Amino acid sequence: MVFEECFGRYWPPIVLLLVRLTGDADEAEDLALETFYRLYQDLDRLKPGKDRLGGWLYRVAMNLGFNALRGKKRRMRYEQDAGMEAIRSAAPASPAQETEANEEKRQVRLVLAQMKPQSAQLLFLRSAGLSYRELADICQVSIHSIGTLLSRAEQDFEKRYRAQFGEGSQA
Amino acid sequence: MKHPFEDSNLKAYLDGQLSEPEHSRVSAHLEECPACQSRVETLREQSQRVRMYLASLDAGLEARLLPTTASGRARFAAHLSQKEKENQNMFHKLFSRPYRPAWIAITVIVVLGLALSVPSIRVAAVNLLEIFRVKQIAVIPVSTTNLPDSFKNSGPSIQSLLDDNAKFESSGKPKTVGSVAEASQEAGFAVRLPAAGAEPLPSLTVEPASKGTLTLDVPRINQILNEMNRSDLALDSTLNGATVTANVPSSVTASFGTCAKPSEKAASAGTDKAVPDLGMESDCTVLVQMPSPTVTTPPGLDLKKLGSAFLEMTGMPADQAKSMSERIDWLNTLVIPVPIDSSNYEEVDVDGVTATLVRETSGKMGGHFVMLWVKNGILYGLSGNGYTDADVQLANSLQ
Repeated sequence: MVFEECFGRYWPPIVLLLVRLTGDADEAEDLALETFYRLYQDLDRLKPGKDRLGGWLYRVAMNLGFNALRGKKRRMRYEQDAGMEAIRSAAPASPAQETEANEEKRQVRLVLAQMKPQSAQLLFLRSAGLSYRELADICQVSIHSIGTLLSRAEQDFEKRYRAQFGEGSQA
Repeated sequence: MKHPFEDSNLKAYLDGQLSEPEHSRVSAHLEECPACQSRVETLREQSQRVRMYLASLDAGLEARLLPTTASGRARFAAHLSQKEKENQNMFHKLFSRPYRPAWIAITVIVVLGLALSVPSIRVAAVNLLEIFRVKQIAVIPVSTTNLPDSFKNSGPSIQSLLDDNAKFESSGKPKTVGSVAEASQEAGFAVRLPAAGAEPLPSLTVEPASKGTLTLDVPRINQILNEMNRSDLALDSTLNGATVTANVPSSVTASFGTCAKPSEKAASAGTDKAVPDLGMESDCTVLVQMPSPTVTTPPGLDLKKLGSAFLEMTGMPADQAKSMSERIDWLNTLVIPVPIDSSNYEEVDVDGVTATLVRETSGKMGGHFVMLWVKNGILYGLSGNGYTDADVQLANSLQ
């Protein structure tokens, strides 16, 4: 059955991407379940080759994932402030590396949530190692425009990041 | 110097995403073009900085315990049964939707026919709809197991009332035609069919315009309302003898595949034959199109109140029925009860507009679907077995 095959093949990469995006394994699993539920519902309507089904699944997963991320923007901002406070109040003797790493993840997610959905998705998926061809398929844009879209997305990401967090921990 | 490459190529070059010959061409150009070299350098630095930020997302990712495929599959099974339960109770979702304009006459009767399994309810509902249909569709999920007894018991009296007081006149007989031009000529509007392809031409039937009239027998109606414990809805005696008229324009039916012959036009209100036998064969798909019907009612009929009663008859709690009825423009809305026990309702984009798709999920009509939409004042209804890409394509290729 096509569905079982798809589940076996795409569940691992999709869950991994969603964990990377949300930072929360439970939430990622819920989003992945919803993604496959939509596949289950629409399967008889889709019917194209398996590669196209993969693109469809990634697209649904990314839309769900980024929607969830945008929904959490306010909370992330709050945690952001609380987190900064935690770093500031930490004793100078403890470098709080762990906190700092989490801090940066939150900042990155917050910026991704603020960006235009397509730019954010392209940037995120490319950084996860997907090829231009895969990006074109998932985001439904021409493969020839990926380079331009990506470089603009990077520019936009950097501008927003700097505006909010300065050079951050990269400096 | 001319720069044959743009950011798009340069970025793809940096990312190693160009084909071998393209990659070599960019390399060759870069060797002799300092401007492009410096642009590549800028892009490279930007990429590197951004990549480092995003790489922070990977920190600790490998150590994470990810849900395995097996556990995911097990949870999916649970998720699925949960979802199916939720679908049984679609009230909330539907109420939050704005009602979208989309409707059609005959196909709706088909929906009802296959939907409502209790015969007396089916007939009564069909006839109520005959009265109130015009400019948009509102879907009401109905649970056939949840219908109030008062309604079930009143079915026969409603039917005999309609038998005596409702008339359906047709201005002619259905006519089979040989071409779209002929169909348009006969029906009086521009008939649309899928773009010509290898497919054989569908068989085309033009149904003549018809007119339905219901004469209000107020004493009898009030007696029925009384039996249903709804004397609060009693009609004013001044309405006695007034008529409600529905003008249904000529429609065109295109049948694709192997279809049973459309039954003789038998929409005489109050009989089982009001349900046309369309698109029931396994590889039969039927497209019906017609301009909007119009309805005339006597002034003084409290449609919101009657509508509320109708909604209650479908099993909706009284307060919900009242508030929903307030929001429906009853003169211009076709209300389709969709039995949630055995079907699903969703909105789909076809033909450049949003259509209402009702799919039977169980029962003897399992797999049957009806899709309704309106475009440029013409109503379209597509029905058949097993909703597939081909049906979407058919709707999208109309011209």
